[in-house]
Amino acid sequence: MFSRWNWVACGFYLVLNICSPDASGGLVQSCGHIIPESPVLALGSNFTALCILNESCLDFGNIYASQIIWKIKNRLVPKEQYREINRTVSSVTFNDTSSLATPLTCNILADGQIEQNIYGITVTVGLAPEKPKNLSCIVHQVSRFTYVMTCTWNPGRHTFLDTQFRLKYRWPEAVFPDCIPKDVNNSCTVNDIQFFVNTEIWVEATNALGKAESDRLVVDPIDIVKPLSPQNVSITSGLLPTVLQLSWENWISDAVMTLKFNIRYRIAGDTNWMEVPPEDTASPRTSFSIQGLRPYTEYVFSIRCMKEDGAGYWSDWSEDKTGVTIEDQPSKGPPIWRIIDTSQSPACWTVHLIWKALKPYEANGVILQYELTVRDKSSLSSPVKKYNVTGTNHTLQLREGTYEVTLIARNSVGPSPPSVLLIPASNSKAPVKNLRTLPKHDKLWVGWTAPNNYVLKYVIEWCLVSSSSDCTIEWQIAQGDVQGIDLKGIKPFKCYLITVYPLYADGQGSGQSVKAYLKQDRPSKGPTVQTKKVGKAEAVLTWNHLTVEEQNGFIRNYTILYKTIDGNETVVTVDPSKTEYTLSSLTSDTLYTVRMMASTDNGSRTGPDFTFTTQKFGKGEIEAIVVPVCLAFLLIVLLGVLFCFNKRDLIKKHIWPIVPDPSKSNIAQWSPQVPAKHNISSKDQMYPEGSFTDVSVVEIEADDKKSFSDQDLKPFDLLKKEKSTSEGHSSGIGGSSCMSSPRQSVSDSDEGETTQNTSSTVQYSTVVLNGYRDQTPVQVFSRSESTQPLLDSEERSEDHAGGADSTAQRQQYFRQNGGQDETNTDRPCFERTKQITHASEGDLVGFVQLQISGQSSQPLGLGMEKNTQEAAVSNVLQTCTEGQTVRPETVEENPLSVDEMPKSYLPQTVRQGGYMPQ
Amino acid sequence: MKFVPAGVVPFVALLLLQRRPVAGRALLVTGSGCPSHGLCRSNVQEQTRRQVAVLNATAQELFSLYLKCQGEPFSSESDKLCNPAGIFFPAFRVNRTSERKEVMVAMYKLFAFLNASLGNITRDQEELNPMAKELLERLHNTTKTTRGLISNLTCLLCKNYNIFQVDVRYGDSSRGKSAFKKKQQGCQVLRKYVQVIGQAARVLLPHLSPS
Repeated sequence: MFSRWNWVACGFYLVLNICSPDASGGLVQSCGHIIPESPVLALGSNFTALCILNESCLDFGNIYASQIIWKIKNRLVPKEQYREINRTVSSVTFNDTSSLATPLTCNILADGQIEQNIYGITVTVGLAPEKPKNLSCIVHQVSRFTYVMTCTWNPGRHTFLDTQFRLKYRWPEAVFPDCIPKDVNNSCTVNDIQFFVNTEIWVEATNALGKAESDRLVVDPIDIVKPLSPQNVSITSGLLPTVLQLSWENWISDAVMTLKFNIRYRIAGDTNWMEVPPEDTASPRTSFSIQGLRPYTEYVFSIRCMKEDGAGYWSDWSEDKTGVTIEDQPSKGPPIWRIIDTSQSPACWTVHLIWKALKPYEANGVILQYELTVRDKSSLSSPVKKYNVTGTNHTLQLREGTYEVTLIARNSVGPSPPSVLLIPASNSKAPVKNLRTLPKHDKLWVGWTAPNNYVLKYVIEWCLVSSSSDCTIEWQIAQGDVQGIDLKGIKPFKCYLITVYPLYADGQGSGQSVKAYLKQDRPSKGPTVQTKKVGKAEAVLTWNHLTVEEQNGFIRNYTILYKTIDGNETVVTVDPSKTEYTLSSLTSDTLYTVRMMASTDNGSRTGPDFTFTTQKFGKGEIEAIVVPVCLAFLLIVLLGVLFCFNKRDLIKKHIWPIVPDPSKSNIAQWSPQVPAKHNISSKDQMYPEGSFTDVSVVEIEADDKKSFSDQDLKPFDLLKKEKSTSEGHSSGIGGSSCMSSPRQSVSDSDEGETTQNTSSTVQYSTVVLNGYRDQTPVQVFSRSESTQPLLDSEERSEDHAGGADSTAQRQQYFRQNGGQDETNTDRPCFERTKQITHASEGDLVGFVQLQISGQSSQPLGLGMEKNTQEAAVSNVLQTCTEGQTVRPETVEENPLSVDEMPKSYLPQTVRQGGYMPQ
Repeated sequence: MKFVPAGVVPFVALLLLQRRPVAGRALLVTGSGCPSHGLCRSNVQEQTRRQVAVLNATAQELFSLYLKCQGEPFSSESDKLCNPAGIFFPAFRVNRTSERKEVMVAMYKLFAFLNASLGNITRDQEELNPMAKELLERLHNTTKTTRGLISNLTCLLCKNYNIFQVDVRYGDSSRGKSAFKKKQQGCQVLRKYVQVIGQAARVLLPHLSPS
């Protein structure tokens, strides 16, 4: 019980002691402390700290040194580093202070393992300062009497501690206040310096771990002065045009320091300085005359100074000051050249005299005017002409001849030496040889080999070659002893035409020209190629030359690259002078892609792709095929014609069998009413709509059908086969019937034409009056295209007519081309029909004629094909009426001539009660 | 008589000493050997000559500028007002034939006096003509030069002649005097200074020229 209360009291006591201020000033005294207090330790050294417990704590709280534990921050220090010196003192040792951190605390483990802090210290670890090195000082002149000395040094390594640097200086018998750097640790400026006293200067670095001094620098400040540059620099022109006098003021009196100087100068606008020899300005002075300058030239001057003996530093250069030398006479005459224009007349020259303004160092002043003198050397009597010109060119109209032109430039001081140009009548002298060019950086060197004769001067002309503008000539004169010059202002990638003329004392040589580039590049574009002609295996390519602006150099060659879609590319190199090339060995009917590349010395550029397809057949191949075929065809035709001609009788027999003339038949002779001769013309007049060359109308009793033999029916059967389309559909009369189908008629007419044209087909119409004897006979007509067998049958009928001639004579009618009076169209059709029943031949013909004209009534025709015989008759009557009323219209609508009207007739279907072909 | 422990008297000490004409003995060294022997090099002789030359070259300008800055009547009646007959100025009774040691000692006394007097004049002018920057700048530079000169002379006396102690007499202090009196005293000292420094330069030239 006691022990428990004892520990509680002890803990309370500790808390009070720890939380209380220092014993000396606080209420409660601490239980212990650490020595050393807040040490500053060298990095890497060893360190031992002691924690000393107060005796009072020992007595009251039973606290002993054996209970002490050490901590760095919150990290426990290994107990191997502890040592219990006695019951109140515990030490801890660190072999390397680099492992230390702050705070280092002394703690105690009270009863119950309660950790209580006794004391803590801060530990600072760093390095002692290094010896400052490389101390150097310079005295800057601030004003006429004010100088400051700035010293710099190398402070050495970082110390991790607060390190003070002090610049110290002293005289033999005086020590001055230290110069303490502000914000830096490697330089300091002293304001109070004194010349002509040896001053000892050094730097002292101090921190908690030590002090270090630099090497001592003993110097007289006058020997490390950087003076101010001379002031009030002025330049005055002397009496001579090549001299300028420079004056200035020094900031330092000679009593303090004598100075030497550097003077530099340059032509205004130039960047290169020239310098007066240092030995000329090595003594104290306040002015200097600079000689050897160019007349009438602006110069820029600058000056600097330093101690005469060379100790110390050069001042900065003074501000630039400019001065201009006075004028002098021009040192040389202006270069002169001419351009002769003889375009108006060879005998009358337009001479453009051109000259270059003198360079400033040649003009030596302002050129006021040029004095031009022209003397005709070919005519001594001609007066000398003088011109005063202010410009740099003059144009004269001169006759062809030799002239001497003299040019003088004049300024305010005097004239220049004269420049003489001889204009000969012809440039017949020897030219230069081996003209060549060579690029040199930004200049183009032009060289030549001199002619054998003595040359006074050379004139070098050059101009920029352009495709869009004229060549603007620039020129330059070189002395006769040189064989090459540099052309300035030459642009790269541009083509220049350079011409060199040698000038002799008595004339002028012809010019030699060369084209040149200062620098070449690859062409700016490639040639555009296209085909001029494409064949089966070859293609002619054509292109235009690149313009000189596009070339960017000399075109060394063209390269043609072509390929098929899936083939390898073929390359062809072409001479640059050509604009056309023929590709050969191409594959026929193949798509080719071709492009073209232009190359200079510095690269190539390819033009756009162009595609073309070779032809399938070569030139003449088609002709070689077609012509023989045609010839063969013609030959075959010819042979066929010859064959047909030779076999014409046989062919005619097969195609056009011999058709007897019905007019010469016995029947015709037999018929009493048949005129002996057909009046064709009258028939045409009577039937303009159509013509029937041969019409046979046969009326046969139905009962007499049996009287026809099979032979008689054969031709008719043959026709039926040929007209199979009509069989069973049409009455066969077609175009001859009002009830016939127009289409059928058309079809028939096609054949009918052929038939008619041949004039071999004899058309027969048969009108059958079908009926019994006791009935009103119904008139049925039909038509047959029966050919010759009809007549044969007819003949045979005549042969058979012996047994039944009475019937045949009464019922058969054969009529050719009824007479005019028989075709009275005013007569009603119905009447005519009746008359037909009374065997009126003319009416029958007219009736047929009407039916042909009315064949446009197709529905009736179609209906007729299926109707019975009676229906056919009624239709005929109806149609006939219609045909009569519409006839004028029909004539108008079908203005075909009679010959054009279809005249073929389908064979009639043999029906019961119908007619029978004969 | 006061004992001055160092050859170059601090400015504050000078002020105290110049309350009235005083004499001093400059103790150059204490014990054997010269102080800062490393600094007392062979060029000190030339440096001393150059310092005297600088003072001689700038003395007249300084005096003229001083008169100009004091205004009337000093600028117009300088001969009367600046007559140095009534003031103390160290005697400089040496010539080219005098011994070098004697010359050195005389110069030490002269420039010790001038250093103190220029200090007093500078102080007075800072009070009377604070805007006369050039005058003040010249006074400062002259004072500094005399200070350097005293240092070099100390070196030479010690090194060449083993003289460690020189009696020096300073002038009257101007403190407490009227502005006119201050100006007049400065004018009198500077006028005498112009005269004596020329003589010193001439005397010193053969003695200090590089041999």
